Amino acid sequence: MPQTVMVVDDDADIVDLTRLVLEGGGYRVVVARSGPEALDTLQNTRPGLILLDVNMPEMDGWQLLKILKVDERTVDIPVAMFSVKSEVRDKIRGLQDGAYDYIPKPFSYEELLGRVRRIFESLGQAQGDV
Amino acid sequence: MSGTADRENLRPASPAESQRLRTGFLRLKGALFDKVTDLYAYSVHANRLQALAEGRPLAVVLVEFPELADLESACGWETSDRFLAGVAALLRALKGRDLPRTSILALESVHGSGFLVFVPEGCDGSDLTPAELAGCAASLTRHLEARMRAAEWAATRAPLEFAVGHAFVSPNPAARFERRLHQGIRDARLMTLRHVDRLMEERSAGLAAILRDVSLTTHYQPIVDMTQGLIMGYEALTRGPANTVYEVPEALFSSTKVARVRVELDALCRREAVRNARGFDPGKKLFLNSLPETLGTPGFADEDLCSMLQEVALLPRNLVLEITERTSIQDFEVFGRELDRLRRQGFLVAIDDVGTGYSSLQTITELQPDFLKVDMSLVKNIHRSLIKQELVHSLLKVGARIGAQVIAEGIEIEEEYRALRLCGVRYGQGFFFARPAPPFPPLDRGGRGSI
Repeated sequence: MPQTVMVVDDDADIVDLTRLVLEGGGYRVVVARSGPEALDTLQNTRPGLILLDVNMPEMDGWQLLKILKVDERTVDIPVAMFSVKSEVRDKIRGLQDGAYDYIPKPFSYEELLGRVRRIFESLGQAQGDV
Repeated sequence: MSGTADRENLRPASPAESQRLRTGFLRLKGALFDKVTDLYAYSVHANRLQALAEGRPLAVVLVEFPELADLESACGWETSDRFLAGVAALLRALKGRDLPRTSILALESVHGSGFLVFVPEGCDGSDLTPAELAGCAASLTRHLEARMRAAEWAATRAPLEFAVGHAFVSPNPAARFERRLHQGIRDARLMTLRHVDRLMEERSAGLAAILRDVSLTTHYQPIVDMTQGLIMGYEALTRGPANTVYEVPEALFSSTKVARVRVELDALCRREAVRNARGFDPGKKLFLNSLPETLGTPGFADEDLCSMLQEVALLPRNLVLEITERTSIQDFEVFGRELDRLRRQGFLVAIDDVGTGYSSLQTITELQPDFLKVDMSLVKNIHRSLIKQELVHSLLKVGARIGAQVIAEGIEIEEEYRALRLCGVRYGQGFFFARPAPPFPPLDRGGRGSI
C-alpha cells in the first residue's frame, strides 16, 4: 500500500508540481485547495502526512494547523509546513503548534522527495521506538 | 415564525452543513481550548456555572505562577508546557478528594498560567461556607507545595513560587452573571497579588544583601570542541548563596526589575567571574554573560575589566562577551557602536540563546558575532525533531556566512550529541560533557578518545 500524502495549497502550480514529484516517488497524493476543503476531505481520508501551505486566503496554514491539532480525529497526523518565509520564528511557531517538519519554498524535485522520504523514515523510527 | 420554517429547522443537517458546523466548532475550539493543559478558557463554562450558582453560593479559587515566564525563558517553552500539564493533572486528581467532585477546572485564558477551580458546593454536597472555601484553598496550597519540591528541576533550581487566591461570586441577581463571574475572578486575583507583592519585597531585600556582602560564587562549564573532544573554553555561571532561591542566575536577575540594580548585579557577576578565573589557560576562551543594557552602556569595558584581566594574566581576546537574544535590543545603532568599540579592544562577542525566536537571522547577521550559541530548547530532543534539525542547519548556514562558530548549549544525552554532530555542529556544552563546577571542571564524557 503506497503512503498517502495530502497537499494543502491554493497555488495550482505548487499543487501540480508536488503531485508530479510525489506520485513519481511512489506516493498517493490527495489535494485540497483550501483549509475548509482539507477539513472536508479529511472526513473520509486519513493521509500519512499533510503538507500544508502557510499563506492561503480564507483560512491560513497556522489556523488549519491549530484546528488539526485540537480535533481528536486528526491530532496524530504529522504535518509539515510549506513556506517561502524561512525565518527562525516561523519554524519555532510551527514547532510549538505541533508541526512535524518545515519545508522551505521554493524547493527542487530532489529536495521535496528527499524531505518527504526522510519524514516517513523518521516517523517509522519513532513508531519502532515505542 | 411560520410553521414551515419550524419544520425546516427540524430537518436533519445535510452532510455539507454538518461539516460546516463541525469546522466552525473546531475553529472555536482552536481559540478557546488549551491543548497543553487539556482545559478550556473559563468563559466556555459560563452557562453551566450560572446553572450551578442558581440559589447556591459559587466560589472560585485561582492558582497563579508569577515566575513561570522566568522558568520558560530559562528552560524553554517545552519545560513550562510540561509543568502546566502537570499542574492540570494534579488539580484533576484532587477533584473528589480535597476539592468537591462537582468542581469545574478551567483556565483564565488559553496559554495563560492562571488556573481556575470553580467550587459550587462543599465536599459533602452542602452549601459551600467561607471556612470550607478557605480549607479547599489551603489543601490545594499544600499539594502544590509538595509538587513544586518534587518537580524535575527541583535539583537545579529553587521551587517555583505560586500564589493561591479565592473569592465568592457575588449572588446579586441585579447584575449580569458573566460580570459577577469576572468580578469574582478579579477578587481572587487581588488576593494572589498581595502574595506576589510580598514575594517581590522579600526578593529585593535578599538581592540587596547579596550585593552588599558579595556572596556570589562562580562556576565554570566546559565548552567542548566535539570534533576533537577537547575543551575550547568555559562559560562562567554565577551562583547566589547555596540553597536559596538566588542560587541560579535567572532567579537572581528576575528578583529585580530596577535597571540600576540589574546593571550593578551584572557588573558584579562579571568582576567575580574574572577574579575567580586565576590560573585560566590562556589558550582557552572565557565566556561571560552580559545584559544587553549594560553592554550598550558607554564605558562598559572601562569598568576596570581590562585591569582585572591583567591581574589574572588574560587578554581581551580570551574573553567572549555573551549577549542574550532574549532581551530585545532597544537602540540598535548605539548598541552596534558600543559593540564595535569592544571589538576594537580585542574582545570577542557571542549571541546567546539563539533560536528562541526573539531576533531574526537578520539582526544576528547585523551584529556580526564571533559565536552563535544555540538555545537549549532547540537542543532538547533534537534527535526526535526534524524542525529542530532544520533550525540548526539554517543557523549553521548563517554562521558560515558571517564567520561565526556555532555552539550548541544544553546537551544532556548521547542521542542529542550524535544528532548535533550529524548536523555538523562543532562546539557543544551541557551536562552530557560536564556540569558547571568551581574552577575548572574536566570532562565527564566526550573527552578525547571516549567518543
